[in-house]
Amino acid sequence: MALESTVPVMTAAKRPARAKWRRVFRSKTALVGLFLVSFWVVVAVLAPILPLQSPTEPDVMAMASPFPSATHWLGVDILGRDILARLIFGARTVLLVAPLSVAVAMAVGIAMGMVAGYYGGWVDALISRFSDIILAFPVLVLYVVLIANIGPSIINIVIATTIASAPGIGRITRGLVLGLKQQEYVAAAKLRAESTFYIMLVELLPNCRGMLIVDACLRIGYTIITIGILGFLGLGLPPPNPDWGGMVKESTTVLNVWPFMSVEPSIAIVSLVLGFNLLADGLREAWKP
Amino acid sequence: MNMEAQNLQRPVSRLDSSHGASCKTQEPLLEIRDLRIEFRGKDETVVAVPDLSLSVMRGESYGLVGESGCGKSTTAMAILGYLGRTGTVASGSIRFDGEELVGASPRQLRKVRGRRIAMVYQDPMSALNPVRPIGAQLAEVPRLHLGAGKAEALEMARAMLRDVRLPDAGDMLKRYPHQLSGGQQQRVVIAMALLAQPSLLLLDEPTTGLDVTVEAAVLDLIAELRHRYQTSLLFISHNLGLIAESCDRLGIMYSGELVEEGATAEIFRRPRHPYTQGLIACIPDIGGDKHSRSLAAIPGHIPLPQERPQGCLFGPRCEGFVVGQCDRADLKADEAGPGHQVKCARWREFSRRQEGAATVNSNGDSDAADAIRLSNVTKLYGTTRGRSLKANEAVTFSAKEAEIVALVGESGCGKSTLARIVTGLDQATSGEIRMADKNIAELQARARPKQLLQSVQMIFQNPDSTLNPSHSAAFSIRRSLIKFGIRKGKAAVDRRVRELLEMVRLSPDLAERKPEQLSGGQKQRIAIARAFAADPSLIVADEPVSALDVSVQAAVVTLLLDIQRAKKTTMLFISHDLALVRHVADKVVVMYLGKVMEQGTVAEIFGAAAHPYTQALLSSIRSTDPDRPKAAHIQLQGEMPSPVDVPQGCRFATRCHRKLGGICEQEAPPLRRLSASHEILCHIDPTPGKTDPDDATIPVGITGEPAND
Amino acid sequence: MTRFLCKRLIMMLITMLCASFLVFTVCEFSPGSVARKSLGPFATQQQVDILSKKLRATDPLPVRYSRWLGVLLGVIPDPLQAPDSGLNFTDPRGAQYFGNFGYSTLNKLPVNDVIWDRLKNTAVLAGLAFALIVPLSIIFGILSGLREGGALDRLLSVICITFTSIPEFASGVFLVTLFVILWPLLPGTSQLDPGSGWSIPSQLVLPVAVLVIYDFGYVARMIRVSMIGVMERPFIRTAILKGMNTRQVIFGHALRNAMIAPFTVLLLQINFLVSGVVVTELVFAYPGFGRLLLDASLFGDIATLEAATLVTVAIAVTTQLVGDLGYMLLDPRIRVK
Repeated sequence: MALESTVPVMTAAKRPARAKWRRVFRSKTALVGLFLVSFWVVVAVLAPILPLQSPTEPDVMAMASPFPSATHWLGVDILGRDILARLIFGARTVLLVAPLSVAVAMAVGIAMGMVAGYYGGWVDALISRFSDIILAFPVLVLYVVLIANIGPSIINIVIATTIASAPGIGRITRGLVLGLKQQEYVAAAKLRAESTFYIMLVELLPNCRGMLIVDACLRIGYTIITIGILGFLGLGLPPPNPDWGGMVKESTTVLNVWPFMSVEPSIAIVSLVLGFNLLADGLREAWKP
Repeated sequence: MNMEAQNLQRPVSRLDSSHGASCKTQEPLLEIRDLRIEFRGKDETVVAVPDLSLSVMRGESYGLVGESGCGKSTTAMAILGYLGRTGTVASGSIRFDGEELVGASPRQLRKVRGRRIAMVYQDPMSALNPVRPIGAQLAEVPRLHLGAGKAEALEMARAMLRDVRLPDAGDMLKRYPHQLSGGQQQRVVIAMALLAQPSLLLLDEPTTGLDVTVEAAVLDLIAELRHRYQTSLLFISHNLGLIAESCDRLGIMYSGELVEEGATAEIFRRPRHPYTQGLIACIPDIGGDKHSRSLAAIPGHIPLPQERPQGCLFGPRCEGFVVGQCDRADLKADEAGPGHQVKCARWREFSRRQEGAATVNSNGDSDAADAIRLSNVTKLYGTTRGRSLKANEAVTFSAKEAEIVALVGESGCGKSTLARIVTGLDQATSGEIRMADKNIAELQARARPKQLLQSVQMIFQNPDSTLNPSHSAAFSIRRSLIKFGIRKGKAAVDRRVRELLEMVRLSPDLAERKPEQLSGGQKQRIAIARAFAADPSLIVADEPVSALDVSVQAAVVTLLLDIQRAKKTTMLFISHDLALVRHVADKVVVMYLGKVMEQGTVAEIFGAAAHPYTQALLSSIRSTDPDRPKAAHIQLQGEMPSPVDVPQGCRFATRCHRKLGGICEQEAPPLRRLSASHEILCHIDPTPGKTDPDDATIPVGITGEPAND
Repeated sequence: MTRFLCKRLIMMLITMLCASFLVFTVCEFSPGSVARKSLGPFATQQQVDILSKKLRATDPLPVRYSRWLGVLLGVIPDPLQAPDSGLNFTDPRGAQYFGNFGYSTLNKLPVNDVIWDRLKNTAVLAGLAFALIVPLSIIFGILSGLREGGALDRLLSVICITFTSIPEFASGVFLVTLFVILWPLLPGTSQLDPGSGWSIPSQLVLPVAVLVIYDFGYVARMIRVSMIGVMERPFIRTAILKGMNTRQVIFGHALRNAMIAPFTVLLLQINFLVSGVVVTELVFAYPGFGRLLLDASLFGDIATLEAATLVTVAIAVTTQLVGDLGYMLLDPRIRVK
């Protein structure tokens, strides 16, 4: 046998292994986004131990001049409650509900998309038709109709978000799976008797990670806006939970004298959503092949 | 300047412009000197081409040969000044027709591009704008460079389409690229390049990705047009055989440098540089088969730009490497003959071509049992409006144990579909596949018992998608071992993985690397290890080496053959590369449009092919041996019909160059047995004496002489 | 082609039916809800029960739904408008006619007298916003995508991402603070009242601005991505190496390819503009369709809610169809033979 004709192939590493996560740090956009998000997360987590005024107890004396002062760094709202404290405690609610809703929506949406994309045929047609119907509702209408009818609470917001977002996530996943299932490593898996569930979970899903994580960040940003809108429309979580959208709404009546009461929570929302959007954009840039 | 359409057909005098030797006294049309191309990224600078010098004379065809990553395409882009944002010509000069192109202003470049230097691309489908009709895209060239008006430009486009032999030129102008076949698209790209009558045509792998017969036609077209318009060619390719027959002179590039350059015939007759010799030895030669010669592989790998050694770049892989002589920084090109340059310190000492060692004759004995037998396997897909796509029809052949059967054919012939049916990824519509006394034709993978699945494994075509990018390289090998219960427990599995990696000659620490860090050849070896991990009795290899470089191909094929021989595995080897098939297979099955046209042993097919289609395929093989008489290429007319609209009668009738007449179009041809193993599906009766003595195309073997059968 | 259109029209109808059925289910799930909401919160339980019985509200859901559908199509008269129901829901057009959406309990008018006016108002807003969004997003997107990572791209991208992070009520608050309170240039509300002292056009400026700010960034990013993708395609290289200059390459080759995918996205913005503007309408007290939907939801004006959602879905599927047709027009690869 002419085995001596070849020498063991030298191990040529084509590119140094850069972990997916380390690449993130090369993107300035992602870093800025991460900073904004982390800021609010840290602040929200530390809220109970920070030296803040009470977010719910009105300070009647400050109402004479609600503008920002030494005791109330951002001023007080129309009921005399410290705005800074309300913003920070409001962050806790938002940062709990939004990612939770999106996580649930992701789980449902990914499952839908995987099944539709992998099996094709009538299963795909059914799921896609169903998704189309839901997607035909402009998102806000969906939220409003749902929440107005089943009432505002954290669970209901999670449900509403799942119903509104899962079809879109499903569509993205389905698109990815349609392309991925043609890959040869999937065929190789079939040839070793791997179950369909295994193929979906182990062979296909990891390759969707990048796009889905980016989408998740964008969706969290959008959900925060939606929660803000719901609060603004009066469909937010019932008081006394500080609700950024609700804070804006309450203060619009005095917009012409004390605009800061509405502007401050608005800035808070914008900064957090901007953080997630920048993070998503940065991740997309960093992970581009 | 208004150009009439007739001006395109200028009367051309056949000057001796096609012979490079007589042009030495003229000024070269394109002169590249000491070219250095760098790509300056944010943190690092990559030197793609450290030092390149070559020249192309007027009217000559210069072939630039090299494997992937050697910088040949980059050079072409540098000529046209299109290196992207990070690429730059760091030093050196590119003179075209007396003008310096390096550092030229964008305006100057635009005057040259498309007008005096034009380009033909590798993938014609993506080189054309999908949303604009072809006529409009063609017409842009004369409107831009020749000042032609819209109607005039379209007229010129139509005339050009006729020149490139596209039928129905008027209708073609309105069509969109996706409505054309690959060969037609490439003709359009060639037409577009030649419309302004450039003096230099750059061709970057123009026929890679086209079917063999289509490739032959396109190359003939290029040769003809080149003489007609007196255009010089810079022909870039990795395919030595192609270059051997199309170019007057050639240059061999290795890692950004030209290692040898000279007249084509001279180089192939007397290759001086070890790399050239190695490349030639890697190519499956149509004259030999696996018993006479094994493909010699070049050990090692092409150095990355940052790994380039000092002195001779090929040194680390060269058997004749001598420290002190070959690694001197001042290595310069030597003249080995008139017009023949070599960049090697010791070229005088390498005078003989390296021949690969002959292999042990250990084919399976003819009394062995059939390992797998296909009978009348048919696969139909139902399409809209009740028509069916006949992917396979009545495919019948068998393979004995430890035999290698090659399935040959062009795209659309159904060989990949058949592979999928045999392995169970698809289901046959009807027919039988007998294996171990079971009919597996309609048994899909998930319905097959584990033992059966284990005994039929597959090696796939594309190294980039054969491994899951999210997992380690050896992940799927481990899964295979676990799922089939071949080893139990982590330690045993790991040990077996190491053994398998050693079997495919890979270092075991590659196991944990991610696929993106491996080269194509390494990934394919892992794929081979994976397939053999299950200890199968039958392996289906679907174009396992088509996506690899020539030298890597040789190594992988040799490896595959060694393993197959040792384990006595039956193999179904699918390929479009007939020369490779000759080196690999024992038996050959030729398919066209879903049906088997001819089958027989290697000797029978390559020595006495009787079917017109097989003959056409064989005639399109290009050999690097300059002393072999060049048989005329059989030109097939027309396009392959769509498998949805299969012609009545003989499927090959629409293109057959030996068509008998009406009978071929209307009646299905009978199956003729020429010997115990040789069958064809044809109306022509190939027994000698029965054929018309005036028929110029008696079955011809590859040696150029009529076969005595 | 006609077959394709027919199939699509049928699909559209089915989608609309399913969507309205879903809304119907959510709103009228409990049998007593219709009667309760029609009579108002002060009616006694007895009155509610009598009315429920009259409406046969205990029938299964699909039956009730088909009854609603029947009223809509003019096949049966609206039971709530029957003179003996005691509700005094009178419609000058009669109780049975095609397109009878019922009676709006909130506005004390037939739904048809309320819904179309509001829709018209929103259409004005949406139309103006759309007319601005299209050119802005195309310009931003293409300029960004031309040279990915370049200075212009960075600047435009930052603007776009920032603007998409500003919800409408936030930008409403910012703009009102700036242009109404600090520099009183524009009216703070836009009730479309010609007697308010502000011209109608000036009342439209701020709401349109809010819509445009929020939306154009998103579309611009989509176009940017599409443009970047197109500029990397080989046929752009072919065009450049044919000797064309940048302008010729963009207008002759890149643009048409880049606009294929965003075309549908642009059209989908119409959906958003028609019904997602509820926040803007609320901030500026604009008498539009979105507020109608919101008020109907909050108040429990079921008839209006169901009608409005049906209209919304109808607009959505129509834009989808137009989008798909346009897609086929732009991309010859997917034309139906």
